[in-house]
Amino acid sequence: MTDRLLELDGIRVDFPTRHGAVRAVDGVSLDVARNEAVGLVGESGSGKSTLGRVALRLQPLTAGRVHFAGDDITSWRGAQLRALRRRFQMVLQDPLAALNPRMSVGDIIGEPLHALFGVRGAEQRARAAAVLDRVHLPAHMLARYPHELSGGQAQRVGIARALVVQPDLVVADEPVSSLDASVAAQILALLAELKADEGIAYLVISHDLSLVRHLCERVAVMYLGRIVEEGPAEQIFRSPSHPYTAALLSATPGARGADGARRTRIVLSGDLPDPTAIPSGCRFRTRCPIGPVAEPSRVRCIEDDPVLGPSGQGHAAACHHTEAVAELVDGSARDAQEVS
Amino acid sequence: MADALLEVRDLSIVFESRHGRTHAVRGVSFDVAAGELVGVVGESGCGKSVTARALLGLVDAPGRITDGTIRLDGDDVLNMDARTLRSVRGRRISMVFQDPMTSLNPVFTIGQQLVDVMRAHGHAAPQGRALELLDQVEIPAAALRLRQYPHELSGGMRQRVMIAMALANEPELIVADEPTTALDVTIQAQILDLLQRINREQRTAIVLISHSLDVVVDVADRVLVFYAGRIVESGPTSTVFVDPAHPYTRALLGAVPRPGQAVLEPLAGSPPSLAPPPLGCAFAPRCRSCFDPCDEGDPVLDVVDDATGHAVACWLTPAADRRAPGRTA
Repeated sequence: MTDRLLELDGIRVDFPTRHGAVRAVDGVSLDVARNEAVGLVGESGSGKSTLGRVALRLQPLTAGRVHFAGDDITSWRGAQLRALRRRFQMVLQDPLAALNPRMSVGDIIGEPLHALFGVRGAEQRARAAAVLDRVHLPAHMLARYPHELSGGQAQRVGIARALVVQPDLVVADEPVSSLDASVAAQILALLAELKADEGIAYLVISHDLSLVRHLCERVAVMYLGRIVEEGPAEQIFRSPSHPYTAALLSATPGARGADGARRTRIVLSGDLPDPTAIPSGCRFRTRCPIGPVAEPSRVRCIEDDPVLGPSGQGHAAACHHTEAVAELVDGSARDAQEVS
Repeated sequence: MADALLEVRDLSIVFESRHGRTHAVRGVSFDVAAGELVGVVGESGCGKSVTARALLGLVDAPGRITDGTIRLDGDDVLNMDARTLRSVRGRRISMVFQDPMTSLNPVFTIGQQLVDVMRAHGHAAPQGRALELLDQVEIPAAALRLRQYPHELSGGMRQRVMIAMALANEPELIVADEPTTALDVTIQAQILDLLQRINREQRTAIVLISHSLDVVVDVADRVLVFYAGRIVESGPTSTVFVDPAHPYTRALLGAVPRPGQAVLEPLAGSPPSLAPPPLGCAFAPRCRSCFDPCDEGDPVLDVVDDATGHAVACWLTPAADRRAPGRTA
């Protein structure tokens, strides 16, 4: 299909460790259409960043295919891959660490032009200046060095560097999580503006559901290397079909239900399981508020690994008991009313 | 107030540097009642963390407390000798920091560190109590955990250990500085739940510091909003959240992406330099409602509602004794 920009198909990534292989990404498929923003949400260790790196061919994969603009790029190398880097770019979490401290802002932004297009000199400087204006930084910033920038300014420079090659896709890995709330809001507004004006598609990787909701049309929620729920952002936020999504939503500080009422937190028990010993059946069952820990009769969760399938809500979820999730969400809203 | 456990009055802290004197905290006053959970919010550099450290007498050079008093149950914390201060820290007031990995000693077991905290304050039978504490903060397999080292624990577990250490000597007040910032959201929810439960069940007062208004809103009874070294708004959490009176608080609430909110209204600009601080209201350059008096005088924090104690420092808000422009607070 022509409107599909990025297609990830059955991606698997194994990391060998002393304690055996860690399957960081375990059979994940995800598409991003042109000018679409897709959010990839999960906690540390969910595999979301690894998947983002796979999308940009920065991470070798164990199995699966990566298609970009219709081409199978899974085994592209050398000059072919370099040409592709003009079309997709990355924005990283810690903007100061991502900028070379010994290069001026102008050189940082201009470098991709030289490296990928061989553009130098006056044209390189002119295009760097133009893109600086696009991220709303004054032209005199071109001569500055990273240590002279605030966190918000540095992230704008990081975005400018990604934009300067006019990419079709930008993978943004936690683009605002190191910034203060008011600065984060400025960066979010900028990302939304660039999407509208330049037709860029985003894969936004974040632990923060509310951020993703703000920027993205579609959301995929990852847990321990799998996508456990995927669908239109509004629907997932209004009526999550997977208990993990419901817990994430309720754990997000300041979370409110569809009616604006405060929800009580659905507190998950324990930590993420050891990734070298993933639980049998449903990998979320050890922490699941509606799984066999809470309801011992639900043995299917221990025996069967649920697949991502239509959940009856217009999106997909990997859970044997999606019918119980609505109850969980309602219960959380009801508890909150009783408390207040 | 007679029933205040902690009483901070006119606290001012400066930092000296090559570039001059930064007025990080500029005349901050607040109370914490026994058993209360008070949230402190503000952006980086607003003075919230250094205020928290001052409560334990932990302001080090180049920082200096230039003015003000801090009283814990009537005892003057800032004028205590080193020995008295040591008996207060960890026993009457304890602190939980943001990053548990750097606060725990990597070469001692969890058990040793817990026992040390109690021995330092003359606890008679620390071993049994250590086990009890880990149970209290809901660490499974507590006996095993006591023999482990910090690196063998997850981030959430380590923060639970820090909270157990803070609880060890049954303090009257726990100061928690960004205790959940380094944690994932589901773990953050667990830790906030735990702090709330400790506050309710043991009546331990907690000062919870966070850059996230939402974290504070979820758990605190009362909230203090810091901006540029001052408290600009304070009051019951529900009042401040539902009906914010200061333009900064309103902007903060509007700038956070939140379910059910269509348009994000980012707050333009950044906080002012405090070396030296501006003469007028520090928020004026970023304020949409700014008018003449704002540049001339700094509004003081005044109570706007006696029933709730809701207080605001803004020229736009009518208050009983809003001072004339030109006078400083």
